[in-house]
Amino acid sequence: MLRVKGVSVRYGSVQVLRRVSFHVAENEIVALIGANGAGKSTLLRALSGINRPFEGEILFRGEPLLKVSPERIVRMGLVQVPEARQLFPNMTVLENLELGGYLYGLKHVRAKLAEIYELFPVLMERSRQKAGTLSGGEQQMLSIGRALMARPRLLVLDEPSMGLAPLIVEEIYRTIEALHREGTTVLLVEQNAMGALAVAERGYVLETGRIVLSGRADELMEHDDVQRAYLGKDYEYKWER
Amino acid sequence: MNPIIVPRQWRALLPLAVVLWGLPLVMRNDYLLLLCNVMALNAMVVLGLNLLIASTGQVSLGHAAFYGLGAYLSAIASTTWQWPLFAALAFAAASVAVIAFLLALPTLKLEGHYLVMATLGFNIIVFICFNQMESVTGGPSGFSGIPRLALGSFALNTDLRFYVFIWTLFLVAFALTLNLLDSRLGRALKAIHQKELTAEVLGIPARRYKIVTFVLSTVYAAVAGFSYAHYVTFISPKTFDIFYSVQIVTMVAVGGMGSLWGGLAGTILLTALPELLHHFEDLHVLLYGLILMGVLVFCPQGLLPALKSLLSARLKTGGTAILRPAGMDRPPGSVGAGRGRNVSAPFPAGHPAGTGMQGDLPALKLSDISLDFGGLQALNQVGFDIPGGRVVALIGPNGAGKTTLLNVVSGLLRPRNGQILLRDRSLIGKSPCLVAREGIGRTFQAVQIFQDFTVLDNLLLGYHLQGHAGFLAGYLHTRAERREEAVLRDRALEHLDDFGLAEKAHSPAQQLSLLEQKLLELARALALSPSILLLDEPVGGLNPLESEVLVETISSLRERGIGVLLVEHDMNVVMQLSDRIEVLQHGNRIASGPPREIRQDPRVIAAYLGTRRR
Amino acid sequence: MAVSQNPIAVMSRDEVGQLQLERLQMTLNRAYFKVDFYRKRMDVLRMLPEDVGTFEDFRQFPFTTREDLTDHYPYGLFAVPLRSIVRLKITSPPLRDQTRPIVVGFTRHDTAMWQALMVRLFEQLGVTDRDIVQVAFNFSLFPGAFTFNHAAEMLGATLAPSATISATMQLRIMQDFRSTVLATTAAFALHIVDTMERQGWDASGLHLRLILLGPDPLSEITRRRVEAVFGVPVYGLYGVAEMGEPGMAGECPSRQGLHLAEDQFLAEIVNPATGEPLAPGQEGELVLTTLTAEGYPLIRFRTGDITVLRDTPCACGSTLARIIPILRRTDNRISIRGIPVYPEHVEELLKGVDPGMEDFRLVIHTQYGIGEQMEILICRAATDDLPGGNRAQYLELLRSQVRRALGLGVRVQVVEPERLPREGLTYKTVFRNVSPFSDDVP
Repeated sequence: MLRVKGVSVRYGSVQVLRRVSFHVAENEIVALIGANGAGKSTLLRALSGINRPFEGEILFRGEPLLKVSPERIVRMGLVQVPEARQLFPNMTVLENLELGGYLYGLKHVRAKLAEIYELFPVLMERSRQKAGTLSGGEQQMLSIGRALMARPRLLVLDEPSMGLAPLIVEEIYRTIEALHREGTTVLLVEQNAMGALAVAERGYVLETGRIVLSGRADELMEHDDVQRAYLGKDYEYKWER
Repeated sequence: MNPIIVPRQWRALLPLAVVLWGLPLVMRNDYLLLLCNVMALNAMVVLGLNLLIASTGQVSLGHAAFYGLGAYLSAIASTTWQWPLFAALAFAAASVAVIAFLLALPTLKLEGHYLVMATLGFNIIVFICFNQMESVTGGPSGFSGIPRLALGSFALNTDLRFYVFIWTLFLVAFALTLNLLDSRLGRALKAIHQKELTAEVLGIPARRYKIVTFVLSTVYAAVAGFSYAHYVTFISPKTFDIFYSVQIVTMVAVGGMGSLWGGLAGTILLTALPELLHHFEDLHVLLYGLILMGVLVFCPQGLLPALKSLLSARLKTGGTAILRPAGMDRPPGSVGAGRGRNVSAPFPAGHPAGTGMQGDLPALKLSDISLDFGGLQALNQVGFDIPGGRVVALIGPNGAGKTTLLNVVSGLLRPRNGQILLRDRSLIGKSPCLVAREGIGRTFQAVQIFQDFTVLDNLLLGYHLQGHAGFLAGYLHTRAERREEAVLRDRALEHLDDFGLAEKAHSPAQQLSLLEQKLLELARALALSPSILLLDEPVGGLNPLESEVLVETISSLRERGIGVLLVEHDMNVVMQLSDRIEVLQHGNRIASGPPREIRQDPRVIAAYLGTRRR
Repeated sequence: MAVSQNPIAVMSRDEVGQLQLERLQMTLNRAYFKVDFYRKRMDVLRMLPEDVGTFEDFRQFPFTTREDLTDHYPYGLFAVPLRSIVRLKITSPPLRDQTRPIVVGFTRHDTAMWQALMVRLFEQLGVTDRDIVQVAFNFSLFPGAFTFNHAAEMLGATLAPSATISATMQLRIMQDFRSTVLATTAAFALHIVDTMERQGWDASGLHLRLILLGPDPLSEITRRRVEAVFGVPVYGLYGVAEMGEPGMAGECPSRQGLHLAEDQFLAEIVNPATGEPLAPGQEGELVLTTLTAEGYPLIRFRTGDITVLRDTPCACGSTLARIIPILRRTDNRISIRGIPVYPEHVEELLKGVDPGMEDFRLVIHTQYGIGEQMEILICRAATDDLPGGNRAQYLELLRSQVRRALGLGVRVQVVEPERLPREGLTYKTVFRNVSPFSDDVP
């Protein structure tokens, strides 16, 4: 569904991504992990049309994304759940959700709302509360719900576990798994490697702007190189045992 | 060598002077002479305003008030109190300076455009005062009977005589201001305008300079006001309303914000314009607005800069396209041939060591530092040492508080608790420029190079603290000031040579590649002769070869006894460079030790990768 | 799992391309940062992994040759520390002290990968857990043979390993244990076939379904001969000797070539003389790049095998590209019963024992195109001062050295220079087609 080929992104004279390639097929749940500074947020910004790559291609459902406006990208079905939630704190839960369905009509919004409430009952309870008053985990759920309102074909989550307590993170991941089971294709971008790999089927490891490892998620969890991507080499000589 | 006062740009000033002095010879029309006199007065005020903008980037919408105060105060002094003219001038200028100082003190502390609001309000208040304080100012009907300007017994009672006086005065002021902006202080002022925080971190006392420049700019207006009052001999509040402030600002904006020559051009253009628009009477306000909008939309930098950029060659940013060392030419058409890689490894040799090299190695001791951002605890009782001649790396996952800690040490943030000791001197609570003076240098994650300056000028900013020429010396371009500048230049050039940047000394900094910019930033920080260097993600954005060069350079700093605190994401660089690693997570220090240990520490691994579920 | 059910085999060419691009870039990144050999090479060329954005760019990357592998023994091509290696293979033994060996390392992932590839080949041919696979290789000479065993176990098929047993015993076991699949070298298969004919075995009494021959290229003559006698289809497979593993490519039932494991390898065909890339359908040298090998990645490795690449869909349903059975080699390597022999190495070996040797010939006795036996004819100047003592001892010395180095038993003779046969296209080698030998071990 999503094919990224040889994408490189620069900020001024600083090159942040160096020929990154990966793909997400229909109904897959793929994790993209990497340390801070690896280039994850830049990659997501390239996907949503905010930072254009200067080389490479991005194809979403067969269509090239490079010259498409961010709004149209969402309309095509590539919806992101941004890092640190980014809700509208002074609007209610309901209003936030409605805004998620902005591109579609009212009828759709009502129908979708019912689905979201079923998935996240707590949001229904608090639908009239201001979003800023919710707990971290609830905010994350609202953020996901809001993204779901836009009828995503591919749901991209940017560090959903950031700043949340481990138990809440568990819940969020379980929700993501549930979404996947119901047929949503998911791209999960995380710093928390182990957590993300436990949820995903396949993974890619990003290190200073490059993909250095990819494969099945369960294999990656055991792989030495994942640790090396975060903490650097743990050996000096090849003959070390 | 030029005599004092004469600015570097005297060659450009000379024709201007000739034209100005020669103009009345060809002008027969008295009315035009009057117009030119008005132009000169405006030019004075604009000059002062431009100085303010060039150095703080802040705009004053109240210079009409200072103009008016200059006029009214000297009028009152000379007429009501019967003081001699020079006394009245001194009184007016001094009072305006004091008032400006009191106005600037609270407002310039704040970030953002509070000065504009304050001066706007001030202008209105002063205008109201002029109108209401009838007994003193004569109220709306004005103040008459002001004695004419006279130099001793020679009265300037014709338009022509005043013309010569005011334009000469302007030329002198212009020359002096050019000198100031050219000097060490001028450099510092321009830096404050572009990146105030970076300037502070280089030891430049930004707030102090901003206040001084504001006061100076009002003095120009006061002197103009004095000249005006004793020329027309009758003044009324109407002249000094908000609209005049806006006019002045428009002249500046149209000509070129912060450009002295541009200000002059703008003044000439916009003073002559109303005369041309005379037919449109009431519409000329509308037209002013339209012109201002038009200029800001199409030539946002002003007319003169737009003209300059059209004429001169366009400058490109450096990017990664840079020279390859001779003899290593790639086969044409091979991959990567389009992107060169800079491998010249500048090895800064023999640069005078920082003041840290004194007997036993000095240390930076951090203890118990805590800081909150609202409800979020950014740092919690963090403390450790940085010995001289060692590299300590600060690592931790996203949001751990690393840059926050660097900002605390730099003086950009004030912690709730804790102590920072540099060789037994406490740095807690000191402003960034004081911290820099104590000997702490810093580089930033996003390279803070002044793009419009040349490479040499960028480096010279680092040498600011080593110079002592003040505002007066700057204005007068004294011999001492020139000598000091030459010495600093030589020192800077040598330093550039150490870093392999000597050939580019006079190129605009934006033409440098990223690696060269980072080296320049490092060289600039080293110019402070620091005992401690704070480096924030130095290798970010560099390719592996460039990275190696920078790492080697940083490593060599140890030999000079400089202690380095390094925040970096690239773990291989961290492991390679550091003598010790401190690990932060959620604002807490969770581990500390040599690289090998830290690499295997399960707490550190868990902090970065998370723990397995189920 | 039939071809149609293996997800890799039915990807569109686009999907294959995407997967290959991702893995290629990953491999280049890893090679640059972890493998000393590739790092130095790229630094000299001022090249970074991100300079390769497309397969076109990749063609600028220099080739890796067998010499590079021997030159950079021991760790020059290793990408991981020994800590992560679980298997080391000597894929090219050292000859005395002159040549350095090629030692390849595999991580756990690599070994699993090779195993999975062999399983894929089995499944492609319809082998299931009901089959009994008889693996007949000389494991000490062909260490990659174990992969057949492991793959068969993985599949669930019962295994009847029978290493160095005579052809007669092989047949007996085959009959008694009702083996359904035979995996062995072409040479040994011919041998078994000869034995069957000589001893009058009835093929219908056996339960074989198919025969898998490798890793040497399978010639049509051999295939026809074996099929004729056994009455079951015979399939070939392909592996690169230096990698030490078979299973890189294998035939499918349609027999239109050997399907490459394109998800794990990137294949290119180049002009052996100029290195220019050639289009599918053109004959040229096969150049391989590993896409997922962790321990010992190879980038643009010149295999020395001449073949043709076909990327059109195959009748069996698989979309993976095929190579036709290897036509010939670019170098002088000869194969004797599956053992690779380089005449240059033999020369070094002989000179090492007898510096006085002036010239030599290798006479390869072939059967159905397969090298069976090697005879060495030596020519020397003076007849006195023979190393080893007298003539008999001298010949024995040479024989034992060759056996130790190559694992081959050879005949050695000393002849006059005039009696030395003219060499053919291969360096110092002549081939003679002869009648089958007696009942011999593989």
